[in-house]
Amino acid sequence: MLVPFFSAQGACPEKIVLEEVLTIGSFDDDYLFQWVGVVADSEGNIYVTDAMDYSLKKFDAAGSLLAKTGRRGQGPGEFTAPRLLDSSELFLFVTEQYQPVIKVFDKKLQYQFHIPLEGPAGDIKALGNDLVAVVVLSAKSESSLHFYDQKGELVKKVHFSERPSRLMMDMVSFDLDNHGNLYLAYNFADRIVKFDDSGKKVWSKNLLGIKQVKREKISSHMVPTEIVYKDVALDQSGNLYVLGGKFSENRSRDVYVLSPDGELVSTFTLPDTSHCIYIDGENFLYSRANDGITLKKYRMVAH
Amino acid sequence: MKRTNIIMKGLTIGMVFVVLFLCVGMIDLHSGGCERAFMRCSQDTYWQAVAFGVVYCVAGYVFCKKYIEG
Repeated sequence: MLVPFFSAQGACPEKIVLEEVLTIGSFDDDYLFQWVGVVADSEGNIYVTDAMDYSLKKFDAAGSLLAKTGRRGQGPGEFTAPRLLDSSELFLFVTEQYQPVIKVFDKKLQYQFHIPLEGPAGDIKALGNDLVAVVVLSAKSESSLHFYDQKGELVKKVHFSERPSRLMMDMVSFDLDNHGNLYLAYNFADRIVKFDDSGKKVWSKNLLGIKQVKREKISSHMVPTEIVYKDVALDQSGNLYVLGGKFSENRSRDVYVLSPDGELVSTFTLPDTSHCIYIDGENFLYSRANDGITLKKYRMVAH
Repeated sequence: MKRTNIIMKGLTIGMVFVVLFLCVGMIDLHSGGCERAFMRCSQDTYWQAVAFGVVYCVAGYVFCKKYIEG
């Protein structure tokens, strides 16, 4: 018998099957060209950043395009390289790859304001209309999560590494649960870590047995060349989903599911390679297909 | 119209690396493209003139690794 995901806090079945419920974008239309970030609201509307046409798009629950904003440029409401996306009750938060800002729009895609950062954003999580958590890339070798208000004032900083790291080795994807627990997966190391709301490490896991990734000297920089984990997302029961990269049996398709206690409880495979995973408020999972031309929405069903 | 769309989408995929690293020109599509793009970015006079410009090359490299390479 198949049952929808999930009913109990932290409860997670061993086998998860994906049922496709929606497809947006194909080779036969112009809905999406190279989508990057995705977020859904409580009404089922889906918002997407599209790097190729420098835009932010809004689709309804059936996948029809409702609105589009943005064009190439550095002015208000324009983009040079729109990337990550998250939302609060009122706002959409969009990062730019080559600008140290978060651009903020309302749900009608009207540009509102921008939040200045100290550097480009590596990952973001909106925690409210006036609070956003950001991993900021900076020349300083500190590994920390920054919390900013609307004005760009630094409200709080949580360090997640005790020692200075080498270039890119502290790159992480993260998510925060409703209790303030921080979950992060390192992009270039086999490490998944949970911190509580006081910044204390709760557990650390390595799922793939990778001791060290290859690094290559490029110009004057030693650069890691193998990505281990690409993205993380929490479901509504507090389970952590981690998208594997090069070392996974199915590259960029395998998703590892960890309980809030850090136990690996399930693994499943996406039909297509993806750069990210996103889980909405009703536990639907979103990922990529056709190299970014298509967005897929799946119901996660437990066996 | 449908044929035109297919051609446009094909061109779109081919342009991915160009968008990933706006500061550089055409990038190789085969393996190692992210590394070559990072090298060109880090040697680009524009980013060398920007304070801590290398972090923007890092941002592009990590995105390239996530988006293009597994």
